[in-house]
Amino acid sequence: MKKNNKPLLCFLMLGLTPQCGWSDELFEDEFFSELPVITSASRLNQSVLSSPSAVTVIDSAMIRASGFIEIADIFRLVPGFQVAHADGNTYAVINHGDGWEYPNRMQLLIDGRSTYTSALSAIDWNTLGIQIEDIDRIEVVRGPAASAYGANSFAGAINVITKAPELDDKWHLGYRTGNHGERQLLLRHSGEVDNLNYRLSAATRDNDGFQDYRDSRDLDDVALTGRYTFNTQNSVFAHFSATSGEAGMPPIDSSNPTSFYDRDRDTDAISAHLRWDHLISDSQELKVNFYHNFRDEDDMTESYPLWQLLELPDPAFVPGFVGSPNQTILAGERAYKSHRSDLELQYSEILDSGLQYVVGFGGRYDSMESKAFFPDKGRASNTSYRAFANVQVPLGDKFTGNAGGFYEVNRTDEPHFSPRLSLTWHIKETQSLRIGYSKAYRIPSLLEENLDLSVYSETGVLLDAVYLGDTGIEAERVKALDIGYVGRLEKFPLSWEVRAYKEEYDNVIDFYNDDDAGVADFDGDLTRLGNVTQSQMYGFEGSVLYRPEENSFIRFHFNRGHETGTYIKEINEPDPPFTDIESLHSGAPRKSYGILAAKAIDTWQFNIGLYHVGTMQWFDRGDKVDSYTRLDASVIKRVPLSGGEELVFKLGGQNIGNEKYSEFIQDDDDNYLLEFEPRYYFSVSYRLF
Amino acid sequence: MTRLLAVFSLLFCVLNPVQAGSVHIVLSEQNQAYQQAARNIQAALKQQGFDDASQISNLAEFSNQSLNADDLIVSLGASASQKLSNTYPEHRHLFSYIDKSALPATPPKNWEAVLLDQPLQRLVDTSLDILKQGPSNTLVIAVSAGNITLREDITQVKLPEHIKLEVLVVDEDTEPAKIIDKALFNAGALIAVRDKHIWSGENAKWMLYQSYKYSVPVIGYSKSFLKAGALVSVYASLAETANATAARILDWHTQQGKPSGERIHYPRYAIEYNKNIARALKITIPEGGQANVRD
Repeated sequence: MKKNNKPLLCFLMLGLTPQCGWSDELFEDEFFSELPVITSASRLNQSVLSSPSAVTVIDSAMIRASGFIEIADIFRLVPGFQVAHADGNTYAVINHGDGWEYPNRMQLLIDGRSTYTSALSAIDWNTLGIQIEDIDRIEVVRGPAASAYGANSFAGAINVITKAPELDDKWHLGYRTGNHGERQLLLRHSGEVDNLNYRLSAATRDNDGFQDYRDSRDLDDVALTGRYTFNTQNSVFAHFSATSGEAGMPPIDSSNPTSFYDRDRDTDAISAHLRWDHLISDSQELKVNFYHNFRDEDDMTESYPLWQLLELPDPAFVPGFVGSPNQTILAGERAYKSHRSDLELQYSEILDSGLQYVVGFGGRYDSMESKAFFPDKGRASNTSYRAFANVQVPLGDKFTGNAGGFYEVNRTDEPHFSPRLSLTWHIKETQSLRIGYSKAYRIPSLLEENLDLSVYSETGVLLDAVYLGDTGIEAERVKALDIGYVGRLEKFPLSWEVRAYKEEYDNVIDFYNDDDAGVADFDGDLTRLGNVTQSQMYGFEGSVLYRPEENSFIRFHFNRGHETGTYIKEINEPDPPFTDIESLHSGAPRKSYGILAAKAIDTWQFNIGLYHVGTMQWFDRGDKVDSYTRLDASVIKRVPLSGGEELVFKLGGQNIGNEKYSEFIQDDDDNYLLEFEPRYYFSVSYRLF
Repeated sequence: MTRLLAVFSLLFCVLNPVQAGSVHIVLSEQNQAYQQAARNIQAALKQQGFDDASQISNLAEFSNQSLNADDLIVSLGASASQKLSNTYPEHRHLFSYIDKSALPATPPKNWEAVLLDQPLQRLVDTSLDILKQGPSNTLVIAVSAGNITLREDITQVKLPEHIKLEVLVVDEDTEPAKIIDKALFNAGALIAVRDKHIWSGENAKWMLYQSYKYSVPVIGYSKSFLKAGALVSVYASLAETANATAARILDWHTQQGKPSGERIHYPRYAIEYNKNIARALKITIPEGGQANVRD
């Protein structure tokens, strides 16, 4: 029982002044142990039955059963998503196609920290600052969701929630080894000191990448996550992570073996995140969120002597005004430093009527400098401000309305408003039908805004105009309409979620060639970046889950979709000059599906996954790749030790039985360049919980 | 009913003055909560028509005080109950503001108790209304390994045949929220019981967090649970506890110190739902599910 420091005076006064008595609440707390208020408007997240968007939830048990060891691969479980290993350390995750090696239309939040990069607005899945073992669950919004998840929630938003340090293992020591040089050593420790709960994790991750391809990976991570609880209504969440290491990079010009020397990419990525959670009452909450992301990547490499770079037969062929035939040039593909600072305030409330809303505003500062893409511009920056609101309104017993908007103002583009509306009909307590409309914008990244790369000789002669971003490049925009049906059976563990969708993308930013750019270099052409693509996607997708137990289930997901659209491939083609406009029809697979099944028997767990992706086109470094079906499987054996300790053994295989397939690069003769051969791994973990 | 009885008793007292001894209200701790409880009892006695002459003192002051044989000792809280039942084994005792598990292991000859905790069966019966609406027929109760009284109570619970009760016994050095998840996956409801290791402070917070994560409604035993995130709470207010205690004192007085026959008394209680949680969990609040005091 708690001691009270001021009872005497109050006791003496009680008889005289009744108002000195305690509130009923305090009195209750004394006898019934003060319970921390944990409900709040934001925690009272919408049930998927009332959600304004199509949402896929993947929990830690599903991740474990999938046998995936890379976080990016988890999204193979999401209807309509495509995942490709663009190389051994670059992963592309897209929704409904139109992808390349650095897809940039997705928001990824980790405990409220946005992780897409300032440079490309792409997600570097290698440097997220968490391990796959840290993940508690992932919520994936399929389609635009800017009003709820912020900028860049364009084709989708991924919300990763990590395990609370308070509920995590005290110790977790793991080692994994596999073919293709796969190796991971992991240490995770959770503990508490007074009111501070923390998790410390450290890992080293290596692999050799694809065979005969320069794409190995050697990364080291350290992360510290903590929550300090001041009292039942105030806590501060903090996360710090750093990743450092190097990765092999493919040739800059694979057609010329004497162009540039082999290169590695050095990466340093640091993130710091602070969030104050303040429960004003059981129905009101205030959050203040701040994070800073820093990245330093460097893959600059030196060329062969100029005469070899230009594929000339002899140094004497180099014109004298260019300078020495043996001069070299520095080039890279991922060489930049970037900073992002973001501050946001959010207030949420739920009223007795059932109306709940979230409002907030925030600001962000991005800066970037790049030797590889705009060496002459120095530091480029952008400041943006945003305001957002979402409201959910019960409309009688049978309907729920959702409305939201995201207003973004930034220094380099005009303001944009991204709205979202939906109406849900609750057919039964366990089934609902939703119609939703949303619109979103994607502001060009700093690199897209500033791309300007030309190569000069030592005498200042323009050797090659390589890249140039269009002036006045505009934000991409998408409009999406969907009808979804979500439900579960009342007395049988079967649930489903299906929807029909139509998405219209416009002003999409892409590379295109200018055959006559008016530049006085050796080849006369230029790769430009501009708003050159428009496309429409429509289809039907969903998932069905039979789950009698947490670790025993069968889950099926599918997408049947189609894409139409056009993009400008080249301008100023001779002769006479014309613009080459190509049609889009295979940027998304017509058909994709997956089945994941798991069965736990005593201390054993058996898992199997089957994934099919139809023929589809990847852009830029990617190719049109054949359809593939791959089979993954894993077996887990737990060996309980005494006192909350256990050993966990896992044997996993990916693409079992298939000889090989390609999911990103494949040449015209169907000779696979990046062959995804069967992969196997074995891991052992010690856990103390 | 209680009030009618009180008025009747009062009339009886006035007409037939009795010579029951004094009432000594003894607080386990000299803190504001117990003082407030004592004053509430006095106020309830007065409201029930008893011209109160009870004395309030704390445990330290009261120890070894000489009492008349027919005095009534009203102990508020576990410490006073334990200590005074040992010191005055021959006297009449009324234990109040106490849990069943905290009752003296070797009680005195004549005792009664007004309990803070709810009969487990009452919470279970409330949860049955909720189970009807969900896919699961499993109830979960987490209890400390050392909480023998509660574990015995759990064995006495009566359930319909199709309902399964899963009891999670938690060691003292284990954080319950870390091991509850397996049980929660297939649970239809989680019943909170008066067990400090499970349902207080940070442990309670994470128990509620886990139950919400698995969309499992929690049935609480105090009003605080509603604010904390439980779907429903079955509770007796502290004012009702004071009323029930006053009623026992009155009964002792009118019966001239004779035992009433029943040792354990529960105050009148209420069942109250948290509408927001019900909405979030897609649970329909049963008819008459809002707070109203019941016998």
